[in-house]
Amino acid sequence: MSKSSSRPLTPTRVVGLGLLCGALALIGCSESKDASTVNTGAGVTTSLPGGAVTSVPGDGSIVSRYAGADWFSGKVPATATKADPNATPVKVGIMSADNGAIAALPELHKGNDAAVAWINEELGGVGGHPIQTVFCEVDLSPEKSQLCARKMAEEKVVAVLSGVDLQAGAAVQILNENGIPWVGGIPISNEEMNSPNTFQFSGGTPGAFVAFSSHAAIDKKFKKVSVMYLDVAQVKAAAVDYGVNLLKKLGVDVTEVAFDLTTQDYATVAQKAAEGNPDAIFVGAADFACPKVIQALSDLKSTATIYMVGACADQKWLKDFPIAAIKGLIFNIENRLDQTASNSADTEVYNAAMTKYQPATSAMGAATVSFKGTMNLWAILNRVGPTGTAADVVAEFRKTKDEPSFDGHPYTCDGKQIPALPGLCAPQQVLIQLESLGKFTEASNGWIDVPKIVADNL
Amino acid sequence: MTDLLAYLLLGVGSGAALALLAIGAVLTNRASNVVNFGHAAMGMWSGYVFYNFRETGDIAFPMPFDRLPFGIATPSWLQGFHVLDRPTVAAALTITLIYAALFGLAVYMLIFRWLRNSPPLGRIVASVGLFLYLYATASLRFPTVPATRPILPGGSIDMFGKLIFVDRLVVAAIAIAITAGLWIVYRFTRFGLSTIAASESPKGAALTGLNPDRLAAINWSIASVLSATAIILIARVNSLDPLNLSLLIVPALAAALLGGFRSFVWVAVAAFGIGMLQSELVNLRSDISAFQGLGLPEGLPFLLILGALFFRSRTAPARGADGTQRLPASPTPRGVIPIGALAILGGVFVMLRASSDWRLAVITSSIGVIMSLSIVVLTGFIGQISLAPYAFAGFAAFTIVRLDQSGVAFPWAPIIAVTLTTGLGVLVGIPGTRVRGYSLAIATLGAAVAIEQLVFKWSWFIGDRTVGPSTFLGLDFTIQAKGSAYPRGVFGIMVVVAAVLSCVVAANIRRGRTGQSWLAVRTNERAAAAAGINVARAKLAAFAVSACFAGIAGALIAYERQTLSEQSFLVFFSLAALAITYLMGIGSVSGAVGAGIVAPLGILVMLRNGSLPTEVSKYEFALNGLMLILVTIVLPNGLLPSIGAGFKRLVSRRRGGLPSPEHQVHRVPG
Repeated sequence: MSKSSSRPLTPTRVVGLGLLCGALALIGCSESKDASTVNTGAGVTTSLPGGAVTSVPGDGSIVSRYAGADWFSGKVPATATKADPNATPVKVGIMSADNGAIAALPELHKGNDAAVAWINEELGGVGGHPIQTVFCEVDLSPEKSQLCARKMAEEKVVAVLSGVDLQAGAAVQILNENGIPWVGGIPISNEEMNSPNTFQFSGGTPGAFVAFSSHAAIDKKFKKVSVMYLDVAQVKAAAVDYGVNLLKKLGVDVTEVAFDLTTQDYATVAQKAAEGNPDAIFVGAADFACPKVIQALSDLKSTATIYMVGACADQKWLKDFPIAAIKGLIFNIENRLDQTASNSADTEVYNAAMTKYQPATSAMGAATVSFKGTMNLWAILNRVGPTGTAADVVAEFRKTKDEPSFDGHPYTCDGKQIPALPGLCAPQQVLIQLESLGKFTEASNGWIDVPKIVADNL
Repeated sequence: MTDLLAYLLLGVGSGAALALLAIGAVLTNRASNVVNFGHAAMGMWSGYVFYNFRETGDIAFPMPFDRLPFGIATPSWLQGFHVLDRPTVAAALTITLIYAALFGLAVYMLIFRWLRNSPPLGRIVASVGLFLYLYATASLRFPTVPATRPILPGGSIDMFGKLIFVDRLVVAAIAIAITAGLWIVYRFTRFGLSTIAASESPKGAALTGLNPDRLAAINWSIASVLSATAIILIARVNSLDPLNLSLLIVPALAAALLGGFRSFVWVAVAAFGIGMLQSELVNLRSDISAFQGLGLPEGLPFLLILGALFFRSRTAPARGADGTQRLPASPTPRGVIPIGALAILGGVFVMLRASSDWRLAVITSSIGVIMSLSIVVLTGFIGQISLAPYAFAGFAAFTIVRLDQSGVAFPWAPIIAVTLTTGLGVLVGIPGTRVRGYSLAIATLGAAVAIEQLVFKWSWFIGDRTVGPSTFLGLDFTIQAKGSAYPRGVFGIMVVVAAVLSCVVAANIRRGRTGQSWLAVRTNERAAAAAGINVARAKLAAFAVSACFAGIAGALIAYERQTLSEQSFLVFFSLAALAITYLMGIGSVSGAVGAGIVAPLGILVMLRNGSLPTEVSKYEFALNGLMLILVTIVLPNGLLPSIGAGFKRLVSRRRGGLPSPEHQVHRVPG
């Protein structure tokens, strides 16, 4: 053995070797710009909210711009009316998670704020009285959700606009005890969907799975479907009750594949889902898992039609895939892509209001949900008047039947849309299919009548 | 059969990543006798650095704060700097791995080097602080996920009738090559042999001219590079997730423990085994309907590890596990009855007269006290580190739900639930009679994960997750009430009384013969056995008492929340509870009281703010992590014990005497 080869590997040499290797590898360390494979999506148009923002003249109100246009609440007023700042405010609570790495969507709160600012500035508040928001930020703890609910009761708010709260179950009970309605938002827990005073304008995860099942089994006549879902109680209940069980009722052969929140490598679950060449694969995943599932299914060259929850449609999860990997993906949404079908200025008004009152917040995404919830609540508050109580708001919501919803399906809060989930007032869904990054077409033939499908089959 | 083989093979990617993480954990343990719960978080941070660098050419430093104290804006150089425009994969990888090496070095030099002589628990707490800090920093610095374009070749090959991804096989090959390389380096080079010598006897190594400090620093660097490699390789698609990547430490430590924290080869085999078994269980769960409601892939491997540990006599990291380190102070409680009576009177006063915020804060703190007592009894009194108190609490809470649905009402439901939880504690404690120190900590971590996955996901057991009414003999103990009448005072009084009685019981145990024998076991098991103490029985009794306290806390949580979520009882909360109890004084009942007072939304928050806050600071996690690290460095015996000892020293110095013996830190000769 030569002398050099027998020299011991001392700590100094270990570090030295590392640095040398680093220096060698740095040769040719920059990619040419042509080598970039990132598709930024620039130049691609979209029909989803936020994609066609039109700037509003600096001194012009939004209502004057759309004066007289049809929208959810009849006609957009001809002139802007500011709420009287000295009038007694109408207190409305907001509970949502702004911070944190998990389940925090600050844009929900921003959507509420934009809607309230616009209502107070241009729509005359509630009968001339401004809406005053009481915000309480929730985190991952049930204690904080309970605390916020109690604060809302102490503040005597007439309703709480719900954003996103993993521990909302604990809060809803306190609000129920105090007769305060829980309105709008993204319902996750069962309590948000089946408590007596909750009024949601979304179908939640159950609505998504009913829509997937109906489209796959009835419209497409698929015979074999795999259902992949996140193994946490709330998602699992929706996937099994409204996906697996509904598909079986519709005569479809179903494979059920659960995966844990901590899963990092989706090779196995994707393989299991793609086993036996199913016609379709449903994916109920937390949004950060969406690209991992897409990548794994793409690697497997699965030919199945893939249905994913709407959260996965965000461009941030899709922008790095080649178009072949994502073309044809189907997502659920809760508004029509085809604006002429809805014959309403809601989407344009929303884009304008977000641009004016929350310019730093993306108009595409979760803000659509909270803006919708706020506008629908405003319409109800206008009926009960500025002195209305929480009980009046609850009573007014319960009276609704095919009530026009802001940029959504008309809602009916009779508790009978899906009897097991009485809080869902508008579980109807639209399915969209991705054509290219940011560009979608409707895959369903308009609205999917989720309540009817549930009533007929479950 | 080919199906079974195919699914085993599909797990090699996960197994490979776990192997790299587990070997890194072994290295840091060898280097400085630390079980680093922040090890995967370090890799996670380097993963973010890598993917961010690939997109922007910027190197990021783990600085989460926009502003420093006194309102000074954080200088941009503290947050990072620009290196290259559009770096290649090779450049990004090289720079990130060098970064990871320096990062590992910095973590050792700035944190763990200062904890060389701290109690083992202090090092665990610092590593939990590191976990929290890095997790929070990644969340704050990268609110939008950097793009993570694949760095390994795509494609798949057909094996056993299934498509196996090529990149997973490449990752496995890399992990095997690194394992083999490290085996050679640590077995045949002077550096490797020196590291092993220094790990087995730091003093002996120093006497022979080795520099254990330098060896430790290099091993930390290598470990950091390994964790970075693992995370970069597995996060190959565009989604990095700070919490779940950091929590990969749990299966990685399980693999390290199965490999005895010594042999790289066996550690790697164990890690591959866990990854492949989990993959197989995903397959079987889908095929066998009876398995579909359970978290088998994540839970069963841990159950098997617990079983394996029971049949192994010595699997532990050596130093610190055998009682040669300083132990936290465990003073004899005094004035228990009068203090307890005063606490009950104070609690009743608050519940009858104080504001809603105060009542809620006292309830939260009281439950926190009972939870911390569970840790004090087991870890402070008898020296067994358990990371399962929240799993026990969750078991009790969901047992109440189950009993309610079977028609067993209050108060029998909580009494039975606490009894069953006590039994579960004994069951989990059985391996504790065979393993100690860090090994037991990891074993209980495994038990906690197994309970989470196999019990809390069992639909039959958790039912509709709501508890029934709590009335007894005409008295309504429910928490619910309208407006500011919430929480009801009667419920609050029940909680305060439960907390005070738990404290009295724990104090009496510490003062009595049982406590003395437990302290003897904590100090030196062999000496205790020689003195006629049945060590196994003492440990099991401590596990039972500890689980009983955790069960009481869980039962109160059930009635406080009314609707339960399994996410409230994750192992993460056990780690946090252990850390905060350690800081407040893990050897004493007063430490548990302190931990309850500083609990989130507890009494301290009320004293500081006058009301419970409605908004959350975005820096909360980062500050908590930083505080844990700083306090363990500055006050390695914990906050309250250090303050107490300082006060005693001051008094005795003025009197010209010595501190009383029970306030001295217990030391073991040797």
